[in-house]
Amino acid sequence: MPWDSAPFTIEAYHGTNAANLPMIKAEGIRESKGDGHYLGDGIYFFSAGTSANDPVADSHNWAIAEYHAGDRAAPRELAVLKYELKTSVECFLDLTDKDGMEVYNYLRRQYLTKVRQAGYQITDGPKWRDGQLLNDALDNLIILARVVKGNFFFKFAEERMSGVDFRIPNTTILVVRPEAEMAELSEPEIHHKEYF
Amino acid sequence: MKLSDVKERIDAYFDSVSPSEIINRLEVLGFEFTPHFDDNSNVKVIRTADDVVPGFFERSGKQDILIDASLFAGDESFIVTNGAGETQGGIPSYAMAA
Repeated sequence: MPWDSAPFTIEAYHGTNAANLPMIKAEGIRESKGDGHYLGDGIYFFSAGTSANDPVADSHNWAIAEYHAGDRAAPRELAVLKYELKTSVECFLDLTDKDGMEVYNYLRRQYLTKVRQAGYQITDGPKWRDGQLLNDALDNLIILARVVKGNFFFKFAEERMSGVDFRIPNTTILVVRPEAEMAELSEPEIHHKEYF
Repeated sequence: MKLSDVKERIDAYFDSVSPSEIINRLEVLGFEFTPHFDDNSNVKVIRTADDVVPGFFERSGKQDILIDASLFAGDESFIVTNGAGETQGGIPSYAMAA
């Protein structure tokens, strides 16, 4: 296993409607796919990080914001699932530290150099492109990361209501690529919370 | 993950992949591209590697652009022409996107 040489665990949190728990227990957390995801395709979690956030509160607040945004019926009860995520140094791209950013910035430069060598420049594409570059790099095994961590500014319910944008991060997230042999999740601990 | 541990792998990959393959894959992911110009919107000359040629070359009907034609030398993505649209050999006087 890739983590045999330098394994470690990270606490990872996921907020959801408590009514989803039986489905999650049976099928796992659904993978997020598409252009708009911060760190590319995968299963998303909140984590403690350099943004000094509380991942339990963030998971709870994110679930509330998502239900509001989706105009869905408010859940009677939310659940925050806590996982122990097992990974290894070789499979972990940590964009909250200098080492990880050196990898990503170098990778990004290689893409842009190739685009320039082809005689093109990127225009009018999707607004945020980091997730797509990570998808391409990870899908093509250019780097073998299966867990990526980063600091971002998230619009939780309060930020959405205020209508203001910021750039300085307020939370730390993890994405886990679905290849289970390289990133192992424990059985979750479940923390129930009232909706408000 | 440290760059020193993965740089060789990244370099080997990008040394072996063609620019067009990267373009094609990124297009599938939703990126959009336009031909690349060395661009300065307020300069009303077309500059080549050898000389500076007065001229007015419009793109999108709005701006004149500064082109270093040597950027395109040998690049099959571009047809390099003079102002009359004639293809030039070597370093040309004018460069125009194909």
